[in-house]
Order: sequence, then structure tokens, then C-alpha cells
Amino acid sequence: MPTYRTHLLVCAGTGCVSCGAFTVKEALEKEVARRGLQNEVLVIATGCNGFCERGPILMVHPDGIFYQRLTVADVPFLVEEHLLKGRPVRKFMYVPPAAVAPVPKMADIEFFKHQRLIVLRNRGRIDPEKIEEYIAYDGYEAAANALANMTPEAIVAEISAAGLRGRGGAGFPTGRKWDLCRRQPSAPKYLICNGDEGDPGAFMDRSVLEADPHAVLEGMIIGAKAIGAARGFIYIRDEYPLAVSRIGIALEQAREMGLLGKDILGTGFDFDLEIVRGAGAFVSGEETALIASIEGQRAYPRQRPPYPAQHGLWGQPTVINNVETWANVASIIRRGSAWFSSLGTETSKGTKIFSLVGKINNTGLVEVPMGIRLRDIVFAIGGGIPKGREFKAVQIGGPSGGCIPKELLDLPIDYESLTQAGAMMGSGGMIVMDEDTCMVDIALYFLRFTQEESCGKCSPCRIGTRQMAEILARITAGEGTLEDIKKLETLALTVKQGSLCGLGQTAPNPVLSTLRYFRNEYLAHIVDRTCPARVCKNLITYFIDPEKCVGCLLCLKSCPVNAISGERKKVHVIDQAACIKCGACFNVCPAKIQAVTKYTGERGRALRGGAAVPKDA
Amino acid sequence: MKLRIDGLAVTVEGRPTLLEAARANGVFIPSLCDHPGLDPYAACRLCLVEVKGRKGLVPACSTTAEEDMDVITSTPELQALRRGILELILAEHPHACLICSEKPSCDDFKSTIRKTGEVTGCVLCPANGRCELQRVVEAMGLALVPFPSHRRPGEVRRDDPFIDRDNSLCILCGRCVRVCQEVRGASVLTFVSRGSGTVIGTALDRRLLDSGCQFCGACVDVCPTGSLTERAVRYERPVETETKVVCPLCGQGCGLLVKSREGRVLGAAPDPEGPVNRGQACVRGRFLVKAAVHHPRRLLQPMIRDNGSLRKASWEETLEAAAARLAGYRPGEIAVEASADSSCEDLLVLHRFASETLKARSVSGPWSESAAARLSEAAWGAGWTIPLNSRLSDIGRAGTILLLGENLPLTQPLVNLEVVRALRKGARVISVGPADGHYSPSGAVDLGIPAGKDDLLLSALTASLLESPGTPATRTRGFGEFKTSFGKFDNAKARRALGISKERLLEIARLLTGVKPLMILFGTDFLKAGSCPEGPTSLVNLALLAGGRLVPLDGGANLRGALAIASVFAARFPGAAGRSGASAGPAPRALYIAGPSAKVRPGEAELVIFQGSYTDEQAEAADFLLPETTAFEAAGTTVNVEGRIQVSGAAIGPLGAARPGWSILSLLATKLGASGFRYHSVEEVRADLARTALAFKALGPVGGEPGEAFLEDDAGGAEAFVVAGTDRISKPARGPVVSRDPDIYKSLNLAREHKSLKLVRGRSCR
Repeated sequence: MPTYRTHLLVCAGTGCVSCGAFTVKEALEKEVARRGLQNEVLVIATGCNGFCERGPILMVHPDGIFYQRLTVADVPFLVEEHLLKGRPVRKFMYVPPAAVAPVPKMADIEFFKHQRLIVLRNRGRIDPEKIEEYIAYDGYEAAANALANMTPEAIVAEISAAGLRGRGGAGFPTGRKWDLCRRQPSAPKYLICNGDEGDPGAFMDRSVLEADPHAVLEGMIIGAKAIGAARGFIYIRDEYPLAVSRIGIALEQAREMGLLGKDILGTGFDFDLEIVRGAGAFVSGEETALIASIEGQRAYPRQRPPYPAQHGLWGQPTVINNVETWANVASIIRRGSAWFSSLGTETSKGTKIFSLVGKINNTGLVEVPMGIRLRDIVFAIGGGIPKGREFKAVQIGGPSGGCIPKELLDLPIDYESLTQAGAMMGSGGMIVMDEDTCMVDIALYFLRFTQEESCGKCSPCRIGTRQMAEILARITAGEGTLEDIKKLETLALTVKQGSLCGLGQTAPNPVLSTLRYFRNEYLAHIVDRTCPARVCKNLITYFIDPEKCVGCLLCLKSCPVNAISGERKKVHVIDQAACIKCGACFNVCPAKIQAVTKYTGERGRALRGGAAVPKDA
Repeated sequence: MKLRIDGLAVTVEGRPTLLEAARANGVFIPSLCDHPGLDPYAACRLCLVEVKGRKGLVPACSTTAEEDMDVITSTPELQALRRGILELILAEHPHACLICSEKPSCDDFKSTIRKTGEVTGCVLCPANGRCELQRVVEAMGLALVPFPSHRRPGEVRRDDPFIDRDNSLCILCGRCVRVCQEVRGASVLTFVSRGSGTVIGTALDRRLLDSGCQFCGACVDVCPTGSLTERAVRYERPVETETKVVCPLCGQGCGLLVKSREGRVLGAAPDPEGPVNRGQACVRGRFLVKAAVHHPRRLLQPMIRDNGSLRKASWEETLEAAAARLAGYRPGEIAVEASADSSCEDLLVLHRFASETLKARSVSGPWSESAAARLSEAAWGAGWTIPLNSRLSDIGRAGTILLLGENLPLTQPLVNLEVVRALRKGARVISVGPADGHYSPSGAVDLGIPAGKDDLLLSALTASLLESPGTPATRTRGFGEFKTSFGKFDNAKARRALGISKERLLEIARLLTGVKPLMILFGTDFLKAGSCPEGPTSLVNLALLAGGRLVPLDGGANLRGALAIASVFAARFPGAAGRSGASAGPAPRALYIAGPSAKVRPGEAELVIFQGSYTDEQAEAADFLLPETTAFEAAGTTVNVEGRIQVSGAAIGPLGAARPGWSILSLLATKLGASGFRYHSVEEVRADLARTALAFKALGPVGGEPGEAFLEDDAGGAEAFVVAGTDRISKPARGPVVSRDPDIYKSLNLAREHKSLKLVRGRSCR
């Protein structure tokens, strides 16, 4: 194998790919060849690096230099400067917000500094389509050890001792699940990897499958030995074509190497995996619905108990775990339960991946030790809120989670604290919201999502979420009554207690948590018919301040319904009757002018009625 | 098992669910999606209860009772939760009547105006009064729904035979979908779309007719609301009486509840307590009873041919005239044709009348060619009385089923349900003939044998079984001789003709000797198909080799009963020699044709007396037409395919001047001067039957309600292989291949003209 002095690691996660990472990679390869460096410099496409905000990303190994937001046009200069002349290019480096000097090395960037990588340990450093690179970083060592030297009991004991809990949402102890399944007398048994990640804004499973598919495979091989399964399934939603293709490649390579199939590594143990592609229903992520889906049935959840570990796929004992859970297994077996359980809190061990999205500077994927404070994630790693806005809340756990307000920023992130605070770990989606977010509107958004994704089987979820969404819609339209809050609370309880599966049981969480922490906003919508965040269309009015307007025609031209009249250098006026409140004028009005303003409440209504300009807008 | 429900110590048997345990002990828990006979579903969430020591609430319908469980079914919190859920359900279901101030007086004074197109409340609903949702709402005392209501879009679907579908009344309990899949194995109805847009429908929103529906009506029967209704009774006035009747429309003997009002049949539904069918039926029993009784071609008045044309006459005149004509024939000149649909009582009197009064040469009927008759004949050849009785429920417990030539969903729907049940439990079903492909994919093995080679297949399977080691039957009488006789059989040649590989054949043979019990199902059609002249003999041998049980499946409401009675009288007819009832010699001069669905063939004899329930052009060629009641108007005893003796009641009185068959025959015999026919009631005939035919011993004393009664069916002699001429076995049969009649509802005689059934009939049906 030839050796190269430098490796160029181009991030090929979905985020970077959509920003053009593959064209950058191609350009790099061409440029390297043009400069005659093809025997010295190797260009590699890796899995998601995590810092999606800054894509396309290039890491130069072994220098540790981190380049970001590269374009094809940047490539020749970069290759010449860095690879030929040995001068790292400062202008492509990352500059933290509110700083002037760039941070050249990845390890020094705040975003990466606070992370602790177990599941994502191979991210950005191996080519996920080459099993050799995975093996080079101790890959399949744990599986070999488990198959050759460990009894099923010992494996289960190790996982139990590590304190690993399900990363899919509910946090059920993995060891206990395996043990329950292992003890079932019935055969055959099955393994399932749940890769039906459906939460809006969550992409950690996708990233793991894309960046390190073999970690999942290895975890499943160990799991198969632990419970005595010969057949397993990896269920991936079809919206993840890259993940499907990389897992497919990984399966083939593992089979070729004798790591899957008959008589694995000569230990006499047989195990093989199949990919099942999900057809896009959110509820398929629920384990019993997912099992029904693999069976070819409609993805309807069913009542538990019996649990899948007792009565799962085709009625047989089945262990079903989330992608991230499986990806933890090999590290635990390789480095020991003591090492794993030294990370995290009393009840929540190890690390957790969060996808950091919304109104935050460093959008991306972060893996942090359990127990880290929310503040550290949002501000230290996430870099705070853009445009100097005020932090308001973070929705944790996807549509079934809850909103955590700024008063609880010092909350340690673990299963119990989150549940207590009215949110949940969920799959680990974190949607950050700033002061411009209306909490009633957010509750409505999430409820509409669960309502649309409800499978329709049980009545509380099917009808209850719909009624709740309608009440919320009334409130955001300024037509709510105080009675509605009571109704919402009663309905939330009915849906929570009455629903069949986790989807319904958690669907009211966004409403309950916003009612808990942001009740004032509800009251403002109902009593004052005001949207404090100025989001709810029915409750806001756009107005052009005649004293500030310079008559630049920008807003006039951007209005999709021609509701703005005026001439160059003359004050523009919005026809309130025609305005559809799309906000286009507000967005285009230059920041130094700021003539277009949003009003809500009494003042807004007065403006709509044609009243005079308020002095203290 | 002991547990506590609401503090009350109760004892339960078996492994009931909490809901069943509570109901058995008089504790009411509301529920809508649960249904006996279906797997627990836990979707309506009304039956949520508390179990001490368990987290959260559990649905009573899907939680199995456990020793020492402490269950709380009613607390203020649970009541509030149930109310909340019920309010939500009603938000999706028309409930205008709930909030109407006129409701109390409306129930009392308003006559139905249900012919309105759209249902907005109970009064306008076809299910008013028999709606389970209505009952739950009343039990929980709900009078107001605090939510805006949502009507599901879409009109009532009326483009299918028999069934109207109105999604706006649906509460998505899923019972119809589940019964269609779990019990009927049809999977025609399904959930479409998701979330609050979910509706019940079919794949690609086709009509039921185009989706493989059997029109068994099970979905209608389980629907708790008026969402799925039988069109014919949708706007009928309330039912007055419900009578338990044994369905006479095929040989399985389902229990039906026939609904009537003022001497008119309104419809029928399967009897949940029916010992054969346990709440299931098929298109015939479910939807065609009314059509069969009140048919435009019903014969309701005696008729005499006078100067070449028929005229109505009184019973007295008709019987006098018929007796006068019959008296003019000598013994042996009259032949009697009977039907396998007549009750045992009618058949007994008919046989007595034919042998004692008419001195007829024979009583012929379809039983002589039946699967049961040919099977016992074949076994007789080896001196063995093969048992013919079976239990349909045994088929459901089978480990392996060999299904020969029957399209079960159409010909034997109840047997089909048992096959579906067996499949669900993991049985393998090997099917040959028209059932190919019905039971795919899990557990079903379709052989795909070319038509007309059934006999060869049986021989090839037999040869493969003989080759495979460990055949259990080596000690059975006649084995050695049989094996020798089979020595010449060229299996390789047979396989080539069948287009089947050696491995495949051995695999099938392995399956046959694999998971027990093995049930071999075959019907008349398989034997009649022309390709299987040695069918019964081959079947007996195959069953012995594989250690399976033969289940003959015949049509005809009372075929086994007819067979039993005919065998008692067989010796009394001069012309009864030979297998088929029709004897050699000159054609009979006079013909007496009897039976509710009897048919006349023209120009057969100089005198034709027709006693039946329906007329057609052929029947109108007869000289005398004697109107007989249908089985719904007269009590009678029938024996189904299992050999089960069942006594049926009469749902309504005789229509027009129709009389029960036994009564007509008794009167005619008396007119002919016979003295032994003074029956006054059907019970007297039944008592005579138990005396005359030993097989009916189980009928018990007169007046006593027979419990589970079966024909006497003691196996006689030891099991033995039947050795036929070796040359006959080794030669593939070359008999004429009779095409199988696609009209499997032909036994239904007249209801077959029902315009809806015409649509259903002849369709490929799963």
C-alpha cells in the first residue's frame, strides 16, 4: 500500500454534499493531479464531520487544519498555497463569531473542543465505503472478541454493567432488553436496527449510518451472539438514499471478509443482515409498527406487553434497538463497561448525539457526554444565537419532546432531568428558538406534525391531536377563549393517558411544556389578541413608518400581491386590506432604514383601521 | 384462577382477557373495537383500566388475566378519561340527535324516515337501535360533545352487491378489516390513508366486487355502527322475530338467525352460537335467504295439466287426480327422483311412499355419486367401513392439509375458514386444482398440476411415499400386496407427464408425512372431473400411507342424511342394483320428482309429477305441480358434511298453499289407499326416522332437544389398503375431461337468479 504524506478529508455527509462537497472533491483530485502530487496527497470522502453549518468542509491530515465553506474556485489557490508551499490558507479557515483571527486547527475550534466522541469516533477520518479503514481504527476487534471469547451471558452482563440505555427515545436499559430476549425459549430470534429516523430536525442516525456503517454492523453482530439470533434487519427510511447505499456496501464488504454469513471468523457462529427500506411513515419508527412494516403489514403499532423481546417479528423474540444504540455496543465491548460508565451521570451513561438546528450559529451534529449542561451545548458548542438575538427556548426530543425555557439553561442533559422538565431525550433533536419565535405557533407546528403522522389506529391520538391542533389554530388566529386553555389541558391528558403508542402518549408534550413555561404567550393571544413574537399572521400588522421611509421601491417591488403603493423618493403605503402578511417587505427593507415594522395587539389593529402613526413603535 | 375486579374476588377459567373476565362477572367496561373471535386490537381505548402494580393504564381487551391481579375498572379519573375519548369518537361520528331537544319524544313518535341520503344522527341511521356506539353513549350518559364535529367526506358507496358502505358513520374500530383478514382470509377491506384521514376501503379504492370479496357479510355483522349495512334491510321496519334455522343452501349446515316480520322474511345473519359456523356465514346464508323464500318463481299453488295447459287447483282436487293417475301403473313402472336438499323427514316419507305405496323401481338422487358414497364404496372393497364423520374444527387444528380440487371459498366457505385458521397457526396447505393460489403466500404450497392429471398425481405421490423411508403403514392389512401391485408404476414417466421434478415430489411427500394431523380434503368435483376414475381408491391408499384423515366434502343440504336413508331402503327397490340409482332396462313410464330444488328434464316419461318449491319452464312441462315449502317455512332435520344431525325450526309459516314435503306425500299416499302414513306433525315423522334408520339413533327421544348429535359412524373392519387391478393404476386415465362448472352456486337453484348474485357468480373469487 502506498503511503501519502497528506490526506485531504473531504466531508461527504448529506449537508456538505448538498453544498457541493463532491464537486470540491473532484476539483481537488484534478488539481492535485495537475500539480503532480497524486502520489503524495490522497483525497478521501468521509462521513459527516458534524459542523454542517460550515460545509463543504476539508480537513488536512496530519496537519489538523480545518478549512470550511470551500468552493471549486478556491481549490487551485488552496492546493498551491498549502500543499506546494506549505502555507495554510487563513482565508478559508473558520473565524468564530465576534472574533477576527481564524482558528486553524480543528481541535481548537469551540464546536469540537467540548465534544466527546464514542459513536462518532470515526467521523471525518475514515472513508465509510472502505471496510479496511474501519478495521484500521480497531474495527471488528470487539466483535471478534465477543464471538471467540465471550459467552452470551458475559456480553449481556457487560452491556448491562455499562448502563447503556436505548438512544431511540424512551431510554430503556439495553442490557435488560437483551437479557429478556436471550431468556426466551422460542426460536428463531431476530435483531432489528431501527433507522427510521423521522423527527423534524434530527439527523444523527442518518449521519452514523453514512459516516460509520460498520460500527452499526459490528454492534449487531455482538448483539446477535448475545441473544442467539441468526438473522437481522436494518430498517432505513428510503429518504436516506446515501445511508442505504453505504450500509449496502458495508454489508457486502463484511460478507466478503467473512464477518457476516456462515461461520463468522471461523467461530461457527452464523449471522446475516438484510436492509429493509421504510416507506416514509413517521410512526414506523415505533418499534411494534416497524416490526409490522417488516412483516409487510400496515405500520400500525400494537399494544405492549408483550414486548418485542418476547413476541416480535413474526411472533418471535426480537431485539430492536436504535442506530445510535447499536453503534455504542462495539466500543463498550472493546474498552469495557467501566470505561463507558465512567462517562455521564448516575442514571445516564456514556454520550449522546444531538442535532443542533434552528436559530443557532453552529448548526450541526454534536456528541457530548451525558449530564452536560444545556447552556454548554447552546452557547459553548453551538456558538449562541445569530444576529445577536435573545435565546428563548430549545425544543428537545423532536415533536414529542418539549420546550425548555431559558430559566432552565443550566439543566443537566440526561433522561430523567429532561422528562422532569416536560421534554424528553427522544432521538436527540435540539431546535433552538430565539425571541422571534411564537411559542403557540411552535406548539401548533409540532402538533400538526404529529396529527398528520398519527397512524389513525387509536381514537385518542387520531382525533385528539386533530382537535388540539384546531384549538391551537384558533388561538393563533386570535379567536381563542380562556376556555380553550382548559380544553387543551384536558385533551392533552386524554391523549397522553389514552393513546396506544409512544407517538400519541407524547404528542401533547409541546403543548403542555409551552403551557407550562410560556402560558403568558397563550394569554396574550387570547386576552390581548397579541402575538408577542409577532409571528401569528392574524395578529400582526406590517406598517411603513413615513418618517423613515426613503421611497426606495424595494418593498414595493417585492410585494407579491401589489399591496404597496408609492413612487421613488416618496413614502410608500401598505394597503392593509390587500396585505397577506408574508413579510417580504419587512425582510427587504434595508437594515439602516428599518421603515417597515411589525405591530401586534391594539396598536396593530389601530393601524389596520388607518389610525395615525404611533410615536413609540 | 383468582383475581380481584373492583375489589370483588372472582374466579375465572382458562386465560381470559380482563374484559372477558369482567363481563363474565357482570362488570361493565365499555368497549368498541373488541369482538369475540377477533384478536385483541386495543384501538378504541375505552376499556382502559388500572391494574395495581402496573405503570399507567392498560386496555382490558388485550391484557390477559393473571393470578392475584387487582383490577380497578372504574374511578372518577377513568370515567373522565373514557368520557373524553368517547367525546372524541363522537366528534367524528354524526351525533346531531344527542344534542337535539326533541330526542326523547322523537324516539317514541317519529316513524322512520331513514330513506334520507345522509345520516346526521341516530334517528336517520340504518343502525338505529342496534348500534353499539349508541349503547355505549347511553351507558355512559353522554349528552353533549364539546368539540366541533368532522364529517368524513365521501358519499355512501352503493356500487356493490348487497353491501352499502358509509364511511361517515365509521369509528375505525377495525373490526371489518380484521375479520376480513384474520377469520375470512380474504383481506379485501383495509385501512386507507393515515391519521385523521384514515378510512376503511379497498386497494386502489376499487369496488368490493373487483377486490376479491366473497360477500360473506362478516364485515357487516361485526360493524358496531351503521357504516357497513346490508342494503336490503337498511330501510326495513324493525325485526319482529328471529328464528334459529339451519341454512339449507349448502351442505355445511350453518346456524342462521332468520329475521322476519309479519310472515315475511327480512333477512338473515349467522348465529354466533351456531355449532358449525360460530357467527360466520357465506353470501348464500347471509344475503340470499330473503330472495330464496320470496322468489318470484315460487310455486305457491297446486297445478294440474288440463288439455295441455296448467291450471290452478285445490290440494284436494290435485291430489285426487294425481292419485288416480298413479294408481294406473304397475310395480316397477314408476321411478322416483329425490333431492339431497330435502329434510330427512321428507326423504323418509318419500322412500316409504316410493317403496310401499308406489312400488317404484328406484329412488335416485345425487348422493349416489357423492364423495362420501364413493369413498365408503372404495373402502368396502377391502372390507373396511371407513368413518365418514369429521369435525370442521379439526381441520383448523391440522398441521398439514392436502386440498384436492375444491374451490373452498365458493363451495365450502366454512371449511375454507378452517383452512385459513390452520394457516394462521402455521399449517402447510398443499392445494391441487382451482384452489391454486388462494392461500399464498405463507404456508401455501401450490402444485400447479396440468388439468386432468389428478389421478396420475395421486399415483405419483403414492409411489414417492412408498419410496421414502419410514412409512408408518407397513403393518396395515394389504400393504405387501398393495406395494407389489404398485411395483410396475413408472414414476419417472408420471413426473414427466405432470411436469414436476423428483425433488419437488419428494418434498411434497415429506410434507404429507410431516406435521400431523394431516387432513385430505376432497369433493365431488374432484372425483367427477373425469381425470380421476380411481380417485376414491387412490385416496384411501394415499391416506393410509401418509397417515392422514380423509374428509369428503359434498354439496347438498342433507346429502349425508339422504345417503343414510337411501342405504336403509336400498334393498327394497328392484332397480336399485349398481352404483347409480338409475337402473338399466326400459325407461320408467311415470316419474315422481320431489325436493325443494328439484329439476324436471322434459320428455322423460308419460306422467311427470313435480313436487318442489320453485317452477321454471321445465317444471311447467310436468302434469302435476305440487307446491312444497322451503326449509325456512317448515321444520326439519338435516345432516351436514360433518355428519352432524341438526334440527331446524321454521322462520315463518308456509307461503301460499305450500306444504311440507312429508305432508304432501302422506296425503297422496293416503289417497292411494295406504294406511301407514297418518303423520300429524314433523315430530312424528322424526320419531319414525329414529326407529327406521339406526344411523339416526342420536336424535334421541321425541321432543328432546338433541345436543351435539352425529350420524352413527362406527368404523368397521380393520384399516386396509385397496388393491385395484395393477394395470389400471399404472395407466394414466384417459376418460373424458369434464370441464368443471364455474357456476358453483347451482345448488342454490333459484336464489341464483338474484341480480346481485349474478354479479358475484362466475367471478374468480378468493
